[in-house]
Amino acid sequence: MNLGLNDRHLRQSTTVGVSVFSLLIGFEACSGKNRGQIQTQGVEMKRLMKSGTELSPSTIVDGGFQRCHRRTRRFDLFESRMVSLSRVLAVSYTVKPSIPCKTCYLSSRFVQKSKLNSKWRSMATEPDSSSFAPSIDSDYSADKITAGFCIIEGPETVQDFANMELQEIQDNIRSRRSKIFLQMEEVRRLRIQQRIKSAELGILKEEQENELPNFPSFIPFLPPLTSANLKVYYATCYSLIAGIILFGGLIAPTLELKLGLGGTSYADFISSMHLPMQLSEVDPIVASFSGGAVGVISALMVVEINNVKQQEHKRCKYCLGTGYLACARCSNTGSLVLIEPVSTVHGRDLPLSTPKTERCSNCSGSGKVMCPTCLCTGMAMASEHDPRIDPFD
Amino acid sequence: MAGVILWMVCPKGNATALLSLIPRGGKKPKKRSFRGVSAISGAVANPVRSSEQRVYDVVLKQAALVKEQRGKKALDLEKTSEKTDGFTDWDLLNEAYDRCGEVCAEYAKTFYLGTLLMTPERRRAVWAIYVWCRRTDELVDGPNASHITPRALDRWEKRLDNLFEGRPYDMLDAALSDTISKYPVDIQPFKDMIEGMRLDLKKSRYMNFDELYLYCYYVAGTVGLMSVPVMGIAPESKASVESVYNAALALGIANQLTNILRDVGEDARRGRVYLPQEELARFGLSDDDVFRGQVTDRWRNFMKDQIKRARMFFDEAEKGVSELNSASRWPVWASLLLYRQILDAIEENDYNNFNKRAYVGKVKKFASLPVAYGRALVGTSKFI
Repeated sequence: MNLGLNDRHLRQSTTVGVSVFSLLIGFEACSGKNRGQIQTQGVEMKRLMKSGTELSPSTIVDGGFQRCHRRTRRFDLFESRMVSLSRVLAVSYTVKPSIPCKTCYLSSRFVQKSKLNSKWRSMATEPDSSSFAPSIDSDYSADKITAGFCIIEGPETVQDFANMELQEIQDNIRSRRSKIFLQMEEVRRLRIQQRIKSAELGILKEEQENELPNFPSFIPFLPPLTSANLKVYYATCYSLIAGIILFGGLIAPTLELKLGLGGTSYADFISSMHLPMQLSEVDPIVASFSGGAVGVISALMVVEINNVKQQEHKRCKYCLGTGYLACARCSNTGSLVLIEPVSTVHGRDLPLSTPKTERCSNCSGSGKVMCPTCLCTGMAMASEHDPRIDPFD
Repeated sequence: MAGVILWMVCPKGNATALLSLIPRGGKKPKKRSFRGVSAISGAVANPVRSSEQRVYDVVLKQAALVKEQRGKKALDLEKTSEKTDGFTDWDLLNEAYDRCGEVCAEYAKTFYLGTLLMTPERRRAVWAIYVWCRRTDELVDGPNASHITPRALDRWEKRLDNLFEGRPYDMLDAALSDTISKYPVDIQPFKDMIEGMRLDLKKSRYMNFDELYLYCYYVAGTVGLMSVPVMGIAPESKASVESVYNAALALGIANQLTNILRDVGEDARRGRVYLPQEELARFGLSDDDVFRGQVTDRWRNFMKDQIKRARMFFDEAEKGVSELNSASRWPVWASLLLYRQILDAIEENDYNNFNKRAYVGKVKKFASLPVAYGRALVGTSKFI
């Protein structure tokens, strides 16, 4: 078909439209699929748990707390939950030893243990402990120290666990992890009973949560996505693309549509807008490509910006998502300079020695202290009703 | 109402007002126990003193402290930024102040815009105070409220004491510590705020206006007292320091009352009623009417009365804004006028504060700015 020069801009706009739409729909589909996949796996995990599949406590507990992103490992509850809930959380935070503390609010005691940053580091890098004797309540003396949980730290509260040996600390950590697991198990069983009993008593449960909830769309102004919705998205997109191609390829040239104002030709349009005349001589393929590229790039930018805004919204504003605030005592360095009076009486010509430093007692040398607003989670909400800490709901 | 009249008779000199449109997120009920010198003297001299009198004692004490320092230097000394020595690094401090600004912008947008009208130094100081107040507020009203214990509040108070002595715990405390070193801020209002938090969970009803006044003092009046030293009193002002503080207090109370009147429905849904029970009864209403959420004629009359009282507090506060430092008058006037308009909005909603949120539109907000500017140009004109 011989398409006239006048229809160049039609084709260009067609290209733009097609590329933008296809990109957007591809993006939505991908992210939808990914999230759906993760959600499915999380659901599967839940079903496994409900059916009472034996999962050894140690693997689950230890595995869940290690910052491994590889999914070849045996699928365990905590890892699935962490990954499924927020991929960005896993990606955007660098692997710091403090990250395990984001699950700290699972057990209130763990908040105190966030001081053991260096110890966490060593825990994370050591190989997965294979066997673990579930003699949880072999009473370590540390248990007596943490009398009760207090969300506000003070300079004196960081002294806990300082007297323990490395091995003792590792054993303590292991025992607490397994305690957490067992308690979460109990919560699950209690919840089942709660549901049964309330069903017996006829108490209506108001919300039936879908197993696969909506995902908010990354594109502004579009409704949230679900798996069913996704089909509609596909259909709309493809039909729009087809329509635009038809329009640009067939209908417009047939009707000899000219997009200039008042039916003017392209060259006339350019000159009437007082733009340089070279624009009217641009090659149609180059023009289509440029138009398409601009459309695609700006669409991607819009989506990314929206994504960033959404993620930022979830961050704790006080610590900007890190979970920690800089320690004021040592100004984030972790060490205090000991100031000793220097006597110049002796009058020797030796240069002054560098001042001695000691570990800052406020932050135990880490340079940062717990953010009391988010309790080291880094997220804006750290309440008990947060789905991130309630894997059975 | 009787309590209010009593209070208005007390202050001497002109009331001069002060800022603090620091929006209070939650409402914290307080009991009558009140810390400080005033409590002891009150108990000895007169076993039954109204809240207003006790609060006034605090105001007098604040003013006295300030007068000591005023003897040494002018209160509105423009502090140039000095390198701080001591525990905080300069860059870290700047970062801390910036973080405070971000938090303020996030949680209190209108207030943040108001702070942009201030001088840069004052702006940072106000941000630091805001963040501390907000963190304290969130301890009992935020996402971790379920974990709060009296011990946690004690620790928080210990941190406050430490930071007033120049030993802040984390970077946001450090910003406040730096502010305190630059401006003559006293610790008492901060302690009173924590005291208020301590009694927070126990109270969700107020018998009379006296109790409500004490609560409003704890939550919002303290903020007014905290910010007077930052705003500064004009050197040419002849008004007494007590009157400036009183006006600041009045502005805080007025703001809190406005908040309460605006959020009646929201609070009721959480099971809280911040309206004095006696006054409800006087108009033939009860808690049930509040929970039912229907606007009747009785409700309208009751609301009219409440709004009138809130406006009275605003008027008291207005008398003192002119005594402030010239650079601080504009933002304070702006916040005063803006918050006053909320009362108008409640009236426009036909006193339906159950379902409709009394909202001042952006246009109106912007229109208040030049008006505030005009009023700010008028300096102190009282010579007493």
